Amino acid sequence: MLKVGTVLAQRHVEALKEIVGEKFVSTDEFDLLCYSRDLASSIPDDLLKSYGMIGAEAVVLPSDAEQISKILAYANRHDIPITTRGAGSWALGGTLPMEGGIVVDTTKLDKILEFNAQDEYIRVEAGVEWKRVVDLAEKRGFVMGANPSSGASATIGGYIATGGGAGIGLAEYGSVGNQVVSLRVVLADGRIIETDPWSSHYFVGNEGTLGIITEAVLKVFPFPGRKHYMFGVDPMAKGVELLKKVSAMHPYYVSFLDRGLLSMINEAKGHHTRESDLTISIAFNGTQKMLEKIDKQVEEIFEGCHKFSGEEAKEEWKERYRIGLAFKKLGPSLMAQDFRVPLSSVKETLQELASICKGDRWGAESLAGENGSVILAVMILADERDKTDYIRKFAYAGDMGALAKKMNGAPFGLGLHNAIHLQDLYEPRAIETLRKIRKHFDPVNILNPSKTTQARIPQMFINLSMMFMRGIPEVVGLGLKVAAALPSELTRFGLKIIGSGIK
Amino acid sequence: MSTAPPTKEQMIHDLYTCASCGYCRFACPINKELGFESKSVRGKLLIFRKLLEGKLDWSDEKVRDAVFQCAQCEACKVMCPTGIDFVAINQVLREELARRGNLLDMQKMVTDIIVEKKNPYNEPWEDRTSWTGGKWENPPNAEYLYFVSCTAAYSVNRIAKSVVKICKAAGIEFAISGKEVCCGNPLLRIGQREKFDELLEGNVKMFKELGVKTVFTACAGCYKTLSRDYPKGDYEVLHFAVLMDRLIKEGKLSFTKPLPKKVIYFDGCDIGRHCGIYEEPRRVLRAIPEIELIEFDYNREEAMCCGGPLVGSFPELATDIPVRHVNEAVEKGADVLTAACGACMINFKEGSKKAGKKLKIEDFTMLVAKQL
Repeated sequence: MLKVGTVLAQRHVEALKEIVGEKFVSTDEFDLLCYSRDLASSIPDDLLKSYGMIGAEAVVLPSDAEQISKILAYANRHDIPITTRGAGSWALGGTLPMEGGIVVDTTKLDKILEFNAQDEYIRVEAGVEWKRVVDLAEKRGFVMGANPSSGASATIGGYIATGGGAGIGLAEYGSVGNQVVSLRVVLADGRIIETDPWSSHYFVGNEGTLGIITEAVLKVFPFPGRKHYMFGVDPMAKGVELLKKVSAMHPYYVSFLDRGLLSMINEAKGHHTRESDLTISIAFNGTQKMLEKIDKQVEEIFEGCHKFSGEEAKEEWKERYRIGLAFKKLGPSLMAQDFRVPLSSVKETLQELASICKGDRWGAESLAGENGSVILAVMILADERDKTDYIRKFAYAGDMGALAKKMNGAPFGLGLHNAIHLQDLYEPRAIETLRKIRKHFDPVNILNPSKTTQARIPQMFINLSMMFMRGIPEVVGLGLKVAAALPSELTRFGLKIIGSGIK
Repeated sequence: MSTAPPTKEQMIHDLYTCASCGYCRFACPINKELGFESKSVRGKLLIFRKLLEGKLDWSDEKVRDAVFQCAQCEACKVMCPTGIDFVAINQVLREELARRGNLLDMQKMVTDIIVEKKNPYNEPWEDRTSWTGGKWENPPNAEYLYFVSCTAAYSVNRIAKSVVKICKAAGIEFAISGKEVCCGNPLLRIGQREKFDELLEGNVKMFKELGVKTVFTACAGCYKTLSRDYPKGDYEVLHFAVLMDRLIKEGKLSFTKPLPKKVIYFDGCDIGRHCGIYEEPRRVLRAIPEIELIEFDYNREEAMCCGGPLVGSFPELATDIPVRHVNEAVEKGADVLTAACGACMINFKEGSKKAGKKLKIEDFTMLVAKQL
């Protein structure tokens, strides 16, 4: 592996130029900066360094699977780390180039290759944004199954590679893995394979560690019509009950904003949307007749609650990609944590969150997860320029991880930030199997090293640093000087930043 | 008058507000063309953060390119979930770079030409009304002033002649003025605020002297500048497409010649996203018998800029961008691509050459005038 502080040798850069053309290789300092960040952009530079990240040494923009195949074969021969990147819109640091090397930006694989209405599938390259696919399908009278709430940037390949286990369409169709007909994948040694529905599952959620997805064939579903609803429900306990009832009807879209989040959105946007403990948005797909039947049931479930007009509900749907970040300017940074909890624990989880985040401005939104679970995104206003405040809020992430576990939930995805929860997600023999699979697909270990099953910081240090962080509020009292020295101190203790990305 | 520019403090707050979600990439013509993150708005916000925090040098050519490789199309503002006005920040940085003299040679040349000749085409100012053949006489007490624009006055006279033809058909009398100077839009884009102000004063003085009630123009760039960047006057500013739409509604304007063609209308940013004029030009086109109006996949607020504003600074990049628009129009079976913006038209013509596709590119006003 490349050593810290080294740059990619010029002969490697030349080899990349030979493969993709000079215009599509960059070693420009601005690019190296940009590609050493992702959605978790608000992690201060010194804390990023505490991960031991080398950062991007070269970036390539290939335009097809053949070029990616040549890049990987070359990297495999020369033991150069590869970090695959879609839109970099995942919050868990999955695209941070920990070991340096080459970042493969897949967004130039941007073609929608085929829309087959007869057999109900779409064939699309990995770098296409979901919004494009969703819009096209709906224009042709179809809907996509699971699709991400960050669809305005999230790519087809990125969502599949990160598991596609939260978002829109899940409550009705399940996670994206259920809709994959086949994938085109470039393996670490450069071989290009086509998967079948069974072998696709290796690559759904592989987080860039088993291969690079270059193309997907996804099922599409008939789209006879849609109806939108939005309700304000008080108190929260009742809201959760009604959420459970309506989720059991498998709506296409179901999401809530808690009072804290909606009040922040109202403040940031100068809106006056009526605030309740839970504001629940729902959309059902179906024929006119089906929707009429559903309408009666929904009205019964939410009887006596505040019902927003159809127009307001539609407006919220239009804003579905944007709503979760609409208040960020109040921070201007965020500390955030996403985790999965069973529907039955939502009430208790929100109550415990209130005591964890006491004294801070925070809010939560939900999306449908797999098998009736709920993905909670908890967001706390922060200002990364105020390091004492920022570090104090890191401790919450640990508390939330523990809370998720207590509620029979789990962190959502591994990436970099959540890799320490590996033991919570899988039992030891399963982890061993995952490691073997990884070794099988990538024996040289070039694909996204130091992520997921290769978390490099021993658990003992993490526990130590968590204890240390809990003590910070008192330490902060000693003054700014001490606090300013904290990041490097924490590095010495092997600090692991947990879930510090934003939704 | 346009809103006050953001202060340094506000800009830094915005730069930290960026969530790096990447939605800004969706319709950014520069990022779509060049691909790399440093050419995306979120990448630039990270670069600008380093610049404003003193970690990058204002005299750096790469900083200059990061600032000016932007069509100021505002598609990113439409997509941004956190409400960052990237173009407002970009404009402040342009003005700072201009003050420090870190401009491209082409931009310096264009600035000198506009300051001297009061038009970017390097034509003598005195020739501004020569397209009339010297036979023009302003009607007494005209309510309307036609702000001809540099493009129609010096480069594509047929636009101006089409305006005359349409107004004559609708019975609208208007004045033109030999005192008209460039609206200043190209100077503002280069960051030359003070030089822009000088042109603005000349035009505003001329409007006052003539005492007109309505100033209209068929140029999208002029329209945006007069309505958004000039102080509000006691006159109304209209794009000619809006005036035509009104005249059709009032029954004063109609089309007799059918146009049995598939026409695709492109929402130029200056008239569309910047001024919200989407429906009027479409209604005018629909008033033409037998026309079939079709749409780009992403249109109106979501339309992707053609790259036209970059022609004067990064011409190669500017003319690569419309290739994808031309390809989409051809795939959709369009016979004609039209836009109510001179800069778009020039750029689409170059784009269709690069795409190697046969597609008729026709200015909106000229197309409409033929159907009378």
